[in-house]
Amino acid sequence: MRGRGELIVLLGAAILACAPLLFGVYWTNLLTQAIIFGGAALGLDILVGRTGMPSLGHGAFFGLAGYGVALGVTRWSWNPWLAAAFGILATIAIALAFAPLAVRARGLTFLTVMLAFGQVCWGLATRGGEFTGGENGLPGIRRPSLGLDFWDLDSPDGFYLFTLLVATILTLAIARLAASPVGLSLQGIRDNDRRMLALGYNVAARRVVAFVVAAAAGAVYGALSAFFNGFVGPGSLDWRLSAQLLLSVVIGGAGSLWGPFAAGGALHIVRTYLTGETQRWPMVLGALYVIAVLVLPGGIASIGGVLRRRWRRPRRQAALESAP
Amino acid sequence: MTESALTVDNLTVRFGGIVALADVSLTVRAGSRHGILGPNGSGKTTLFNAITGMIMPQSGRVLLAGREITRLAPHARVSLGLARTFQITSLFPSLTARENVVLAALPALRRHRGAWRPAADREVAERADRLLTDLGLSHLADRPVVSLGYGEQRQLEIAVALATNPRVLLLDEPTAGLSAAETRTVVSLIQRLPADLTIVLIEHDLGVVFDLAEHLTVLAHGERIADGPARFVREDPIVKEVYLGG
Ligand SMILES: Nc1ncnc2c1ncn2[C@@H]1O[C@H](COP(=O)(O)OP(=O)(O)OP(=O)(O)O)[C@@H](O)[C@H]1O
Ligand SMILES: [Mg+2]
Repeated sequence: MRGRGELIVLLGAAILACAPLLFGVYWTNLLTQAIIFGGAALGLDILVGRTGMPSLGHGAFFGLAGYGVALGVTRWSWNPWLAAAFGILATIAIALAFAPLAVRARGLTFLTVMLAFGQVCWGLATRGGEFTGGENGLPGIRRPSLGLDFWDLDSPDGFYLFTLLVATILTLAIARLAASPVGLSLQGIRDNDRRMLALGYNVAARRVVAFVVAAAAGAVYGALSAFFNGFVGPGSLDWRLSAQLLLSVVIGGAGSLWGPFAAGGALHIVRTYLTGETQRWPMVLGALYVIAVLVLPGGIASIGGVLRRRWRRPRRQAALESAP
Repeated sequence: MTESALTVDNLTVRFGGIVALADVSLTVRAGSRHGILGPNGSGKTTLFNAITGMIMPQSGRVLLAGREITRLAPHARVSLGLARTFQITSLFPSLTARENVVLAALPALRRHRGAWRPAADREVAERADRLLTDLGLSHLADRPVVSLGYGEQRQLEIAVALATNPRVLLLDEPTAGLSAAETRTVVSLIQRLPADLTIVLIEHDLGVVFDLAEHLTVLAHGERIADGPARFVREDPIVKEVYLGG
């Protein structure tokens, strides 16, 4: 069963790897970002879908890692690899420090605690003066180099494939975690945390694990995003990014992993198109959310089951009617 | 004299002004089937909560196989071989029956910590499937709990408790709310449990109690009003008046 899941991830990665052969630069760049936002939504699903802790501040980890990268490369003139490691590890450290406090809250309280956390990060970035570049952010982030002649991360195709590689490794690792004793226990905690306590699980510690894993995934994709854009600004810490990630999880089907990935990627593509046409992206996002909840309460991931039931019902009725 | 699997010694539990248990004592012999009877609100579930550590008693002691466990955390008692079911079904609704059993079995097998190996590796999965098969529930293994009927959930509740590999099993009204046919299924399931497993059973259905329990303790208003072999307790005039007679 697990072998099959890994095979599907690898198959999906192989198909996506062909994209640069089929599409031009525009679509390759758009897909790079779609993978970044899809991957971040998949990571968030460990916390929201699997553990049952809806966060409206997850974008903070995405943005913090980006700022870490930007500071390393532009302010301190570090090697981009070192800056990436710094941005990601510093974000994980912040998540680890904040998690024990945050996971004491549940449900709506947790959601708003995370919103507040995100707003604090956004406030620090915008009021950081010269250091964070304030409202203007930090431009001029050089991309790292693999030192390979045939794989240039400064080219759209090269960076796309690198992003895909990172996303594949991370997705395999998260899927493996999800199927492990710790992963199963997260679902147990979501369903019935008191029973988990009685069975001998350290529920608080496992909530912290879920929180930090989701934050770490967010940080990796935040670093990738910073390199992709060559720039970070307060926009990467905007609460609307957190909302987009959370809605990706809900629309994709909380707990299903692949659903949030697909929804996260698709939402980014839709947003890119809409931003050209209209300024009403948040409204469209809200409408999509309402429609998804009404039509597909289990998210995109439940569409197979829903269609199967639709398909089966008329047939069963037909069988009943044809019976004597 | 046979050894005591579970001893409750002068246990008192108060909730504010309410005395839910008043100086209750009882001894459950190893391998016996021990029934707890009493009208609604007489403190039966509170007794289980205190034994399993979900409520701390104001005074008194709880001993498991001679070892004092009065102040131990609930999960520590689970690893010492104490398991319970709940009057209100307490399962993991979105998980399958097998996953419910696996989650309960992992701590007993000391395998609940890994983040990199599968939760249900062959050994764990086989164990879970054997348990479900033994209880006649194997056909439910891949069904999510939400899709199960109430009677099936009550049986799975027993399977989940057994998965922790207990020596003492506390059953809180295992047949409450079941149809006559479902009740018979659950009674025969309990009758088929291993003879060396000690079972304490709260039950309102007198037919079920007398089918299953050889020893009875009767509570009323948090006090123990009778205790002894089932056939004697049945004839006790006080019990007849307070409980059996209505
Ligand atoms: N957590 C609690 N807080 C306050 N009072 C409680 C609590 N649990 C039980 N009680 C009270 O203690 C008394 C005994 O309740 P308990 O649930 O033990 O009764 P019971 O014998 O299991 O009854 P039933 O047959 O209805 O299940 C009741 O008066 C109840 O209201
Ligand atoms: Mg009760």
